Amino acid sequence: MKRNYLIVACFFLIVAAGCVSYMITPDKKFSPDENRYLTERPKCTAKALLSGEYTEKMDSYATDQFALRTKAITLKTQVSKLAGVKDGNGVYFGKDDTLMLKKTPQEFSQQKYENNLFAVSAFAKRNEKIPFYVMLAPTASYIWKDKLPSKAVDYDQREKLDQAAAYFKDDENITLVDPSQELLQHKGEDLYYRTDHHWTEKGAYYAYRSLQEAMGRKPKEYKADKVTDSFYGTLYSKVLPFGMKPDTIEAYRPGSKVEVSHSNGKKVTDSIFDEDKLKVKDKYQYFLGGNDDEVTIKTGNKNGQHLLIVKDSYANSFLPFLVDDYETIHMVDLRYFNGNMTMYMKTKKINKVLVLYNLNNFDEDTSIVKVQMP
Amino acid sequence: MVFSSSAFLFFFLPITLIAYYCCPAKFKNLILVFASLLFYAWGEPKYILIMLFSTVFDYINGRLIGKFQEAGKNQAAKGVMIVSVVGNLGILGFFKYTNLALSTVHSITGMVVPTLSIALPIGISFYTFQTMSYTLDVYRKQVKPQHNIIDFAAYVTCFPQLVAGPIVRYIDLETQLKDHRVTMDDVAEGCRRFCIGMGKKVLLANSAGAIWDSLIASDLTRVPVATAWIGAVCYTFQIFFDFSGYSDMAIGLGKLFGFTFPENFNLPYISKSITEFWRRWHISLSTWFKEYVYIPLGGNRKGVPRQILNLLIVWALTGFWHGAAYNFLLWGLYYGVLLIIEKFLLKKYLDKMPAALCHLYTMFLVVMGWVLFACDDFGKLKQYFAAMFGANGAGVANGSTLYILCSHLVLFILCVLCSSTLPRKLGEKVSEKYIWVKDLILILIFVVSISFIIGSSYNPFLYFRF
Repeated sequence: MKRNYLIVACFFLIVAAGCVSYMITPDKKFSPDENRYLTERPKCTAKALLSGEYTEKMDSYATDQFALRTKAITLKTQVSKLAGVKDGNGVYFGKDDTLMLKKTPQEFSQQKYENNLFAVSAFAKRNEKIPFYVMLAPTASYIWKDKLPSKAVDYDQREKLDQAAAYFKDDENITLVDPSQELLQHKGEDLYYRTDHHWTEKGAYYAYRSLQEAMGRKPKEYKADKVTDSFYGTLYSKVLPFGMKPDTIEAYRPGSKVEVSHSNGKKVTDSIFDEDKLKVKDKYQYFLGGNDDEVTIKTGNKNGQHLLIVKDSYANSFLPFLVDDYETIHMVDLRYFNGNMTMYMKTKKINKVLVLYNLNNFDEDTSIVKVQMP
Repeated sequence: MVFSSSAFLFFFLPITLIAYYCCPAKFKNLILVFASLLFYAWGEPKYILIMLFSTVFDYINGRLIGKFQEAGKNQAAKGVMIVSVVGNLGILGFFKYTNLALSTVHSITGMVVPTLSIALPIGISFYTFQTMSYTLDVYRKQVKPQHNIIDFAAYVTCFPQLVAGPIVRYIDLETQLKDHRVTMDDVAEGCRRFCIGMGKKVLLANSAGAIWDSLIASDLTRVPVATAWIGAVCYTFQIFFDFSGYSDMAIGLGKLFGFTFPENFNLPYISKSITEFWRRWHISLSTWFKEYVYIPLGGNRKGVPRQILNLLIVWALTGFWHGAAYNFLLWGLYYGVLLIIEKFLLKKYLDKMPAALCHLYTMFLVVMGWVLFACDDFGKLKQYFAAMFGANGAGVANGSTLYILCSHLVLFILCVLCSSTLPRKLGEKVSEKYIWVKDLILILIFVVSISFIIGSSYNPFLYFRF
């Protein structure tokens, strides 16, 4: 009899405590740790019940609103690491306390990659008088290959960049800017966040040097302020490992006064930085306040230089280095932008284009093809 | 609903257990029926009707058979038995095999035939087999017809073994339906067994399954030999730990409700022949086919050619029972042929061979069998076998082979150890005094399993085709 108490008591305690915790803790709308919205308790209607929708929602509700959810994810990650597993939820547990996005050669979509290269090439052909600079930013798993878990095989970014160079070889107005040499030379520095999939201000800076070189301009010196030292990024959110040190965000401050208009004037500010975002979980949004469909930055520099940046979020921390050199900079994020690019370029008098994506995104994004629409 | 979900663990289970333990004995079966119907309705509410129909249908059939036999009308009793079998197989056939039949007609004749948009009711292969065992056993006078429809419904709908077995025959549960007192020993044993099953399913099967799934989804023409073998072995582990884990959880839950279900798996991967493997794998299914198909067909009593035919019939049906696709049929026949060869040719050699060699021979064939089982697309199957034997020219190994091995070394070791007799021997060695050590380990497994359920989206249910 006595021998049974321990297992029975523990088993029932765990199950009952789990049950009660759903009832006494209020539902959370958003999980800042995981940086995503959670399923809340579904409404029980006859229709939802009969279609099976109710029970399906209840299942994800029960997983999402589990009181110790973030602790459970941490426990899972720690047990996996203890068992020698070197990745989880699409994230490598790299060396030097570094997380990196995992993409195996099989996971790389060659078809989509080539479609996107084609779209950019067609876009440039349609605007043959305007110089195009295309930068595919290598990500941490290439530049920081040494920090990958031992034996890990990620897709070959060198090969993909070479393919892009070959692809654009005949496009006379396209210059492919490959920042990987510059980045590799400084790989000992903090080029990428350890907890996030973006490059740091310093990583963006070395890429900026490559761009300046391609444009035949002299790069500025790097100087940056520390903005926060408590940044836990998207990779961290996926696995919530125990005891990881947060990242530091630095930012380069351009000298020019700016007027920044978001989404065609829906919101106008006087800074390319958004202090409010330092209070939220995803602090990378400090740069430009996150991704908008369209952002126009007007500077006081009357030099007749109007730059269009077709981009993903890697461009947001890249922007500060460019501000001083242009009269206006227009940034378009095709994931959210649905206007006509040709019209847009005409009305904004664009005379230079930068296409800036990180390589991890370039074989996944399905919105880039929008640029080739007439 | 599946056992390895937070909705089951934290809503369904505690609420059902409280209701069940608190209510007086005569209502316990009623509570169980309600809970089971809710459990079943969780995924697909409308199919609850089929289950209710099945229950009432065979309840009436059982009563009628009993009545006719009492009155000496054996022909009438036989008629009802046939109606019952046809009815049950009709339900199973309609929901499970209609679309396969239609698409086969299409591919043979080229006729344009519509396919039905019917989802397979979960667990239908399990419960139609269970209800059939009832009417057949009533007809064979092995059990008395059940007069109490609630007790009978409790047998048919009984949620612990509803969706993935074991296939409990009515004869095994007959007396338990009247009296399922729960002792402290039962509850403790139930908890232990449930934790073991949960660990097998969530920690071992899901982890091994993730490797197999990512492999089978990749371009198989570029998969080298070693990776293909690792993948096949991963699937071999996945299906065993998933299925036997599920049976363990079912048996454990049964204990919590005062039922003793028959064992379903007995360390199949230690077998030294295919014959032994099938004595250890999915025991309740093999028993069912032996009892209700093989022996009625004449078994081995009508000469060798007839016995071979009987074996082939049984194994074709066994294969087909696992899913409405031709690879399952092929998989069944594969085992049928292997068993016949062993029985009539190989047995005397196997008896003399060293144990290690016998084991290697068995596991080689079993792994091959699982690849056949896992690939319902014959194109994929061909590519996979090509990869396993190096016929795709992708070499022996590549960088990712080593990474998979390194990253999952502990998992593989655990899988091997847990397939062996070691845990059982250790469990037996633990004296009464130190049972708390074992229990602490089980609780730890339970807690970690919960964290894996909460923390990952990958939690497949393999038996949706059964």
